This record gives sequence, structure tokens and C-alpha cells, in this order.
Amino acid sequence: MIFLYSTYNELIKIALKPRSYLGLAAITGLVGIILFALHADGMSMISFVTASFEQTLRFEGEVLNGNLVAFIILQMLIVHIPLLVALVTGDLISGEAAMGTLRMLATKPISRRQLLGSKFLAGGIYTLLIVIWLGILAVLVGRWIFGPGDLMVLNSDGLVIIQENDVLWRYAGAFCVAFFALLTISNLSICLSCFSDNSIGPIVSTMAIILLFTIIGTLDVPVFDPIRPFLFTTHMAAWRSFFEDPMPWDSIRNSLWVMTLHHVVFIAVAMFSFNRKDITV
Amino acid sequence: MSNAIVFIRQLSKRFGPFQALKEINLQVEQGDIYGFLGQNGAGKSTTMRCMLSLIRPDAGEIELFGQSLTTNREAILSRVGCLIEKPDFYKYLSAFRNLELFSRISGKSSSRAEIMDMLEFVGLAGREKDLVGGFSHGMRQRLGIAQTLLHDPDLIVLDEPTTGLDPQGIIDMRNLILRLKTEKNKTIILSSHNLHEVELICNRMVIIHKGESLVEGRVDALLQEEDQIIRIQSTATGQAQAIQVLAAQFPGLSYQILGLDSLEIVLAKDLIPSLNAALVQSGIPVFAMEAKRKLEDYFINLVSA
Repeated sequence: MIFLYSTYNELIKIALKPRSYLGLAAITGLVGIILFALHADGMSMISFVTASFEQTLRFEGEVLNGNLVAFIILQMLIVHIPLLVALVTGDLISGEAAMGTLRMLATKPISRRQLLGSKFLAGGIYTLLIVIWLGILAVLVGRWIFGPGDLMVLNSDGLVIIQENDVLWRYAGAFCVAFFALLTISNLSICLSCFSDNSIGPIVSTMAIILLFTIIGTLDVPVFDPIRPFLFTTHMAAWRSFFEDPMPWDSIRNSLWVMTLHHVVFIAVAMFSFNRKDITV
Repeated sequence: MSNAIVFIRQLSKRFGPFQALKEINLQVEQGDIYGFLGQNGAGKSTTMRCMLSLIRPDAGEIELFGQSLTTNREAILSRVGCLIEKPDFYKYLSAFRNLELFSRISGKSSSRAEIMDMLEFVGLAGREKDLVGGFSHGMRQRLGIAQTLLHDPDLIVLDEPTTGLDPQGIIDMRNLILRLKTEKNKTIILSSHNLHEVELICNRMVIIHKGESLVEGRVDALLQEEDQIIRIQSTATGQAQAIQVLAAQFPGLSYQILGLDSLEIVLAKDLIPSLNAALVQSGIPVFAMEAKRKLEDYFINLVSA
């Protein structure tokens, strides 16, 4: 029961902390800019992409529709959202240490494991809300402004066209996988937060790790080949698999396994360290 | 039969090469106002933090309410209220919301009325909706006390509770601590480097120096071991006359001349009325006769030994 109370406390703290709304405001602003840009000049951008196919394919209907807009938004923003997530979750332990409230919390009759667990859960819920908000803005607002239609996706294998009635469930799946990937970021930043007594350290460290792993993942150097499949950043874009035909279920399952492994490691390291931490601040 | 609710045995803690605590032993009884006395960095806060499981000791045992802190942490902490160093709260939340948050995980969730009553008890009625970020240090200290008492703990641990308070705030805090003991029969442990404070309100104490407990016991019993130091202020003539009286009526008594008009005399407590009478009967004008802080001397003698 005390775990639920503690989680409720954490959610209240997140809800009433001004910083928590930075992420939501940033997403709203960025999506607004993208929607405005696509509405104002989207066709010329689409024509640039489709020009190479126009000799062999004839496009009927609105290519620039709500589904494509949602895909573009997701593609553009999913790389920035880790920072917005880490901004809040990286502060969950270290921010309390910096404020001195960790000392107060740690003298309450709740085990450190439960206290940290409630922070992981609250961080996860915040991440989910960020993803849901992105989904609402990208899919619902996008469809509302640009209308529905078949989704045309250009990937490394070529052009994939997904029927309008086949799109929504794919978005649902893509957002679930994107959430799972962002949860890795949330758990990583909370884990790093256990080792710091200031707010900025874990946030910067999280971004540094993402940057480092991304560089290792994209560098075309054979020496990194053995570790590349095990880096969580390699699987951050697993949501894109939902827009392939046929859908690579094995690849999605593999990505989920790798990310789950990261979740387990980050939570275990955090629990071990937080349990043994001397709270001297 | 011992009525102890806190037992600390052979408590040791090292931070890297620094030995913060070295085989600390102490015992706090039900109803005590127990003082942790020591200089800054002596190990008072570290001992308290170990008692509250904020710091893991390297060795030693801590028992509260007859249970080991290692194996019964949550049950024990539900009966303890504490204020360690400065009271820190969520600055972006109101006083009420802060208390509500802490009460929810204190083992006994408090109702709105109970929180309001507690805010009134500590003199913060009417400020419940104000953000803590705008509170003065004194107000935060009082909110800290409210947070400490809200779940009605049996043991209250206060680390330097008067630090940073203005003179009125110090008096209020001292009175509050005494009220907690007399009206609510709470056991209180407080740390301080203010000797006067400990002498005024504590019935038992431990003196910690460089991580070691030098002495532990009843404040009056520890001080009884020492002679009293009396400072007498008179006039230049009075000073000379007083010296004659001392030589005639109290041979062997040691004294020290202070300036042109004062004397400092070391004597047993039961001799003070006789000395007072002798000075008056000799017609010596006595403007002031005060006992020098005994604990101050006791403490200084002990730590400089």
C-alpha cells in the first residue's frame, strides 16, 4: 500500500513541477511548427520525394494526408524526445538530493526499494503521457487537419503503401514500441540519478550515453559489429518496423528483448546502488 | 529495570580515510530529552543519520524500541519523527501539500483537519496555501517540526533544531521541545553545539568528540562532579574586601582576580549561600553574582584533555 502512496506522491510532484510541462510544451510547439510547415508548403516537399517515382507510378488521392503527416512527425521528433524525458526522470532522485528532500523521504517507513520503485513507475507513467500526447498531436490532429488517406512510406527497401484502413493499428503498435524505447531512456536516467546529488549530471550523462551509443551504432566500422545489436539506441527506431510490408515481427521481438534487458539492468543497478547509498546531503 | 528505547553499541563509521564514528555507545530512556553535544564535525549528525538508516554503519548495533534497525527498519521508522539539519521541502508546493505528501508515507496518513491542526500548533495557521519557496528559515523550521510530529511519533530526533533561528525563534523552539516532553510525553533526542541549550533542556546527554563518545549520562550528575565557578562583580574597594573575607572565612578557596572590580571563585555548590551571606554581612557592595556556565567548562575541559 505504501508503494502506491509513494507512487501517487511522485505523480503529484511531477504534475506540480513546472519543469514537467517543458516536455509537453516543447512537443506541442514542435508539432505545431511541423504541421504549419507541411500545411503551408508540404506538397512541394512531397513532390521532391515522389518525383523519382512519377515515371513508373501514378498517385491518386491526397498523398499528403494525416497519416503521412503523423509518420513525418514521429520520424522527426522521436530523436528529440529522449531529452524531454530525461529532463524530468533524470531529476527524480538527484533533484531530491539537491533539494534535501531525499533525506526527509529516506527517514520515512518506506523501504528504499519501494521508494525507488515508485520513482521508476512514476517516470514510466510520465514517459507514457509524453508518448500519448505526441500520438494525439501527430495522429489525431494531423488527420483532423490533413484528413485520412493511404500512407506512403519510403524506406530502404523501396516504397511501401499502406491502405488507410490498415494504418491505425500500426500506429498503435508503433507508439507502444516507441514508448518501450523511451522507457529505456527513463530508466537509464533514473539509474544515473542514483549516483548524483545534482539535477544536471544525470540529464547530461543520459544524453551523452545516447550520443555515444548512436555514434557507435552508425559508424560503419567492423570493430563495433559485435556490440551494435546490443545497444539500446540501435533499437530506438524499432517502431518503424510497423510500417513495413510484410512486418518483420522477429526484428520487433528482438528489439523488445534487447530493450527489456536494458530495463532490467538499469533497474537492478539503481536498486543495488540506492539501497547501499549513504545519504549525507 | 531499564526503560531504554534507544541502544547504540560500538557504532563505527568510516568515510574513506576519515573515521567519522568510533565505537559510539549510548542509551536513551523513555521520556528523556537527550542531548548530543559536540563541536562541528564531531559525529553528532552521523550518529543520528545512522539511527535513521540514512547512513549504513560499518560496525555496531542500533536498537530502537527493542528492535534491531537492520531487520525492522520500517516498523521502527513509523514510530520516529525527525528533522535532520535544515528542513528541506518541495519549494514549488504549498505548506499543506508538503505535509500531506510526507504524511502519506509516514505510516499513518493524516486527515486534512489533522494537518491544519498541526500547522496551527507550530504557528503556521493561515499560511497553509503559501508556497514553501517563499518561507523564511524560521517558518521552514516550524514546518519541519510539523512534519516531524504529524504522525504522532514516540521518538523525536532533532538535529541542530535552533540553527539559523532568531532569538525569539530559539526561545519558541526550546519551549516547544519542553512542551513535547511535558504535555505529550515524547522522548526527544537533539543535537547541538550550543552548550547553553543542552544545559537548559536536556536531562541526559552524550558528549561526542572526534567520533568518540567521551561521556554519557545525566546532565546534573555529570556536572555535579565539578565545582561551581562563581563570578562576583563589586567595586575596586569591594574586590579588595572580598579577598580579605575569602582569606579569613574560606581558607584554601581558589579565586582569580578579574579586572579592577571582579573575582572568579571556584567552590562547591553548597558553599555558595555561605559565601553570599559573608559578603553581605561584611558590607561589600555586590552588583552581580552569577554562576559561570558549568557545562561550558565541563565540555572544554573534557575535549581539550
